Amino acid sequence: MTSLNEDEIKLAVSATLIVITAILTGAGVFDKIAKHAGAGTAVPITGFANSVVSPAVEFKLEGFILGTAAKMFNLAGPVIVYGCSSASLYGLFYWITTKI
Amino acid sequence: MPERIGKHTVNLQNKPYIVGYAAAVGKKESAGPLAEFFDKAYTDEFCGEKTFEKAETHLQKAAIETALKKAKLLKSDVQCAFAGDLLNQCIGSSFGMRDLKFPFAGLYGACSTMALSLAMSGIFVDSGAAENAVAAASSHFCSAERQYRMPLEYGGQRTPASQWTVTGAGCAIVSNKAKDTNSPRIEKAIIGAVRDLGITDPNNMGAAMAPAAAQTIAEFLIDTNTKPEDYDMILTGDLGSTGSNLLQKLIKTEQGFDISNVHKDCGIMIFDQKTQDVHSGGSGCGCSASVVCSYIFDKLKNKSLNKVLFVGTGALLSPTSSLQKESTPGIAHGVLLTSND
Repeated sequence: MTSLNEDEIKLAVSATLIVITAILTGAGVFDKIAKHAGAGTAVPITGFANSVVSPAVEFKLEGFILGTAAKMFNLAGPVIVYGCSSASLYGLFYWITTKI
Repeated sequence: MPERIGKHTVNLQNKPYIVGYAAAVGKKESAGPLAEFFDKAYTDEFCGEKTFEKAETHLQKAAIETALKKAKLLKSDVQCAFAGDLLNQCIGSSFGMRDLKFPFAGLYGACSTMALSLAMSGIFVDSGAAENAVAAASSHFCSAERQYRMPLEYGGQRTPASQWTVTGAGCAIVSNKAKDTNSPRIEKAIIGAVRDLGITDPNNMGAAMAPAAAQTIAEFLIDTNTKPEDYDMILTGDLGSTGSNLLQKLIKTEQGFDISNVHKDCGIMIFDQKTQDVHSGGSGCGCSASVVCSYIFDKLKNKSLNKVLFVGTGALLSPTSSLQKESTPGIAHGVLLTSND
């Protein structure tokens, strides 16, 4: 059995939650759990994984390119755009305040 | 000939007959309180088709074909079909018409489409433009969700005022000749005006539609010089419990009509609100279409109901208009359905 160090464990936890959510979403169970769990499923990384997988499943009828692939980031896209933008801005601010 | 009375009401002098009607629904609807009245129930949400959109077309076609069969009419006996649905560009209806080959006028009245199609068919038949006309409408939970809201498997929370789109279709065949002595009739019709009191929550369609319903019902009562007590039922399309409460309050405050004793709503009737987890109730074109073209016409036929003012209600929003922060205009069209006496 391979042992993981602390950093690897942090990644493995996220990856495990993402895989479990993807499987549960694909199996059509996640939305039922979310109805009762509410923010308990939306706030952790599971909510994000669900928002990527659910449109991917739903829009496969429109084809793999313009359906699944194009619609996959319909809900998650804004999170990525604003997440990356705010990280860059914070990085710039951090660099200015610490290095200059 | 149709003749206008009062402001907007149209009196259909020959009182066209409903010679055939049918409703086809999905699994959740067939587990509801009106299950025994529906002609066809599908347990498969795809109805044996490949996509939800095709499934909706399938439902509408099934309702039309069953209604024609019950009316003992052939496709060639129909001079015009008025049908609509909620899908972009009305494909739920028009794609079904590829096979049915009727002259076809596509309608969009959002969830008020069944009342609108009955009104149009009634006016067409009464004027002599058609001997037999088809009035139909449909909606499908899955095709509506993916167009208006979130993917089906998305784990979001639904608000208390939100409604559940009915998977179902209804069709009525309107004719100038009675099939038997029990054929229900269309006596009057009213085309409603758009009314918008500034509701911007796309999940509260009951509140957006209630003002239009109040306006159309009040206009009809004034035009015909009648009172709510003169009707066995004033039936709204899909206001749900939120919208129904608002309608009863609004029409009382604005016009002084107390409709609470005779008011029913198809959105409340079609599901069991305690056990079926539909929040405020059912919605969609198929909601009033499947309730009217089963339970209501059955009751008019066996004369346990004699005078029903059916007012279909529609929220004229689009996914684009909601994103652009537009408020939701409501519309309501009415038809007076009576038993044949």
